[in-house]
Amino acid sequence: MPRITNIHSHIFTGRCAPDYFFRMALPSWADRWADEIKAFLEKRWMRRLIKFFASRRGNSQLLRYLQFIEVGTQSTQEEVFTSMQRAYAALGADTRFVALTLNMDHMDTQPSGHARIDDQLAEAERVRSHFPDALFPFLGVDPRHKQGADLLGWAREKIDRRAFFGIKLYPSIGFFPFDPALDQLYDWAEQEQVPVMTHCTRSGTYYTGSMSNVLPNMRPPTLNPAAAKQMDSIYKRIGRFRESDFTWKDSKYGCNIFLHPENYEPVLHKYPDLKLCFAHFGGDDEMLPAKFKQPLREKGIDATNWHDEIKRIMGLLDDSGRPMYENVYADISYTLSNKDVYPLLNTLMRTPLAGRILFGTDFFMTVREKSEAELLQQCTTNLENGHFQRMAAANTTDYLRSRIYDPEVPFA
Amino acid sequence: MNPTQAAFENPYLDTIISLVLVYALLSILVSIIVEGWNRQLKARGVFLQRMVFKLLDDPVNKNYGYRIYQHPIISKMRKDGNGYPHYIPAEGFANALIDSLAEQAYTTSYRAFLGDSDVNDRYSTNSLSAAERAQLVFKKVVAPTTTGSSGKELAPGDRLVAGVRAMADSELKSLLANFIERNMKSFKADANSPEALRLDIDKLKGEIGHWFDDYMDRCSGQFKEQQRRKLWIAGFLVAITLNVDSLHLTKVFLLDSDLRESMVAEAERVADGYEAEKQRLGRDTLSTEELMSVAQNAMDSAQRKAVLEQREKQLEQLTQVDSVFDAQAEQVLAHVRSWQLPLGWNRTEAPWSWFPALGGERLKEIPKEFKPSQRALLDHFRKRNKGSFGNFIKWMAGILISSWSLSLGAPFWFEALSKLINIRRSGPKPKTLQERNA
Repeated sequence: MPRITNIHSHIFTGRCAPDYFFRMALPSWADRWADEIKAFLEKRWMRRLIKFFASRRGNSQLLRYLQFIEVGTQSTQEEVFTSMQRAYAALGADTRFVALTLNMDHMDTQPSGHARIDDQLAEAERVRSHFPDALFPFLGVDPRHKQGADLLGWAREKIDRRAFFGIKLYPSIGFFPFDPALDQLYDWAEQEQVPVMTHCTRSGTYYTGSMSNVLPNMRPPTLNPAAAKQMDSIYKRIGRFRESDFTWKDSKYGCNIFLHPENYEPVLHKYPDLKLCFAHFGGDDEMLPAKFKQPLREKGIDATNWHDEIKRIMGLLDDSGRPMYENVYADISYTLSNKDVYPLLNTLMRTPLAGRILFGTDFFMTVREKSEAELLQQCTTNLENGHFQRMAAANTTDYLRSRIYDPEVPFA
Repeated sequence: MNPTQAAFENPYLDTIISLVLVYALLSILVSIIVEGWNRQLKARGVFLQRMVFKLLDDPVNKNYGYRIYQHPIISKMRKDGNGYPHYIPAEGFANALIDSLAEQAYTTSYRAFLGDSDVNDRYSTNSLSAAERAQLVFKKVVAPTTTGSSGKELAPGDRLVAGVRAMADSELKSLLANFIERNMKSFKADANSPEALRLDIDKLKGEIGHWFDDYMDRCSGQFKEQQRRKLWIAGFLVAITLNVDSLHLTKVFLLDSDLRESMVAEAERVADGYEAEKQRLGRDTLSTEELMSVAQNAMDSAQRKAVLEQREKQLEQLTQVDSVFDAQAEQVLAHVRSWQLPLGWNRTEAPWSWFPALGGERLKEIPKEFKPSQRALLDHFRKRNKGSFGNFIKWMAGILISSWSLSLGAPFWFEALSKLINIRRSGPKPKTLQERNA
């Protein structure tokens, strides 16, 4: 019987985030007081005081936000992990958690004294040694950290000894997934069937510096020049992003260029068996376009619906009518916090894509919306006909399986 | 210096001394506010953490600062979940660093096992039967990181050497390698065995501890520099809350020789107490608490009480004037009497006196019976109590000067006070009040 797996969670702490990271969570008017606000919010008595007033005024959004800060400001990854694990007690003790580490070292050119990626990984590895059969971390990869053979050697050393089980990409921090520096890593990951998870929703973390640092020219290099058609479409979009002040001056929107699902087509064209998961399935705002405003669409910069685009890539057929990319998955993390997406998810689970939709929550990002236990409850209640079991157990097991790690084999 | 030694009298010097005494006492209050602020925002802990991260940040390898903050020796020093310790003892730092480096001597991996047999290589080449695969278990294996190691359990010193050897070449690695090299000692397992070199771990801990202490000394200077902004804000808060107008105080000290004299006498006691405390503790600087105790001791002395009583009598004489404005003068002088200094918020004092609608009161005329010196003092009060743009600018300038002065901190003002008192004592002895009256 396959075990339940939360394929998408985070356990890194505030110490792993750059000093300027917190500013992204604040409204722009509060930006200049970020350090002071952070220091105050990190104080338990201050959060209690705000919670008291927020609960009297019925401000649930503020309460959730404080909860998010409370988790993020815990001092060790082990504390964050165990707080997530507690929410799954009802599902049994053998739930697995994929914790996605995140390389936040290149989010800006500003100096920062945070714990860098190797420190974050070392701590995650230590927590894993305490929970070897429950915690399965993925490696946060950034082509500006290491490149080519160096990157491959670094990642391989960790995945080969089963300290890490997959690769996590977060392109909106300022790189394209078709960066040639990732070529050897993809090649190896495809051969070994090591899963790759990539962030794919218009919201989330992004490069906070100037767009000119991360998008210096119209035609960034690609690992697959042979995919001329796909690259041509990507280059045209880059041109539109560079020409518009809206995306060029505000990296929050500008960094959407790195996340676009179409960016993976040159990669998949070269590595069709690569095990790739589009996290968040494009996001609830893309799944329910009628309910959300999409500024880039309204301004004519990018009219693509990312959810539809992911489904298109997952459903592409070759000349013989077989799926082109059978190893492309999507997870419903964070998206599942919106109740309105469940009818759509139930419909999708009745399509041929059903075997490639994964359960994940995006803990602790989702604490802003609902507690982990509430999310779990909402998901199991609203998904019909064993869909939850299929997403969370069978599909996640298939996705995690590689030549290095067999999810059926327990850790002693 | 003995207070009875020769000294010279100069109203300007005495005014400066009086002003410095006020700053010295009030800047203790500023220090207390900033300390409270730092405690609330855990500023010391955060600063220490940043400095340790900076010291041990090795971009080629890891941030060992982060690692030592994860070490139980340091992490258990936290008072709550998200705080940092305010202080790390050198020995604790050295132990945590050595452990974090030694940890690198080993790597943890999870290998495929069939019972007690390591079949990881067969698993990798996919040469296990289905029945064997069904019985597989992944087990934790801890092995030496560096190649060429015998695989045996290493002694603590050897583990540290191996951990440093496992690092990629970097400045920090060179520094650590030098530490290790300097602390190697000859060792003989027994009388017949050849001499070998072995790391003297206790000596190494001592050297790392000294290195950390030296670094912390430099950091404390940086921390003080960082506190300037806070000190200025706290100085401004104290100046505005207590209405400390430096320009006004200067004028009052210049005009009121009695007040000046009592302030100088008190300043001498404080300076003597300060020097005595420094000598007793064998230190050049005193903490806020120690400075507060110096000030309190000086104020509690019997001599101080006598001066206060004498001063009160003088003030009473001054106010024994039959005049229509007696009450107002009494109010101004009562304020001076109660505070001993023209500080605080009072309805007869600027800036409150500028707003009659809010209860502010002004002196309209100076009683003729007042002596010229007293008249000059009251004339100053009268002029200052009129609401005008010029007065506002002067008051604001006085507050800002006080804010800046108070932000210099109590140690600075106590030191300045001590030096000024020494200068004062270097001239001929001034006449006492009784001598002058006679």
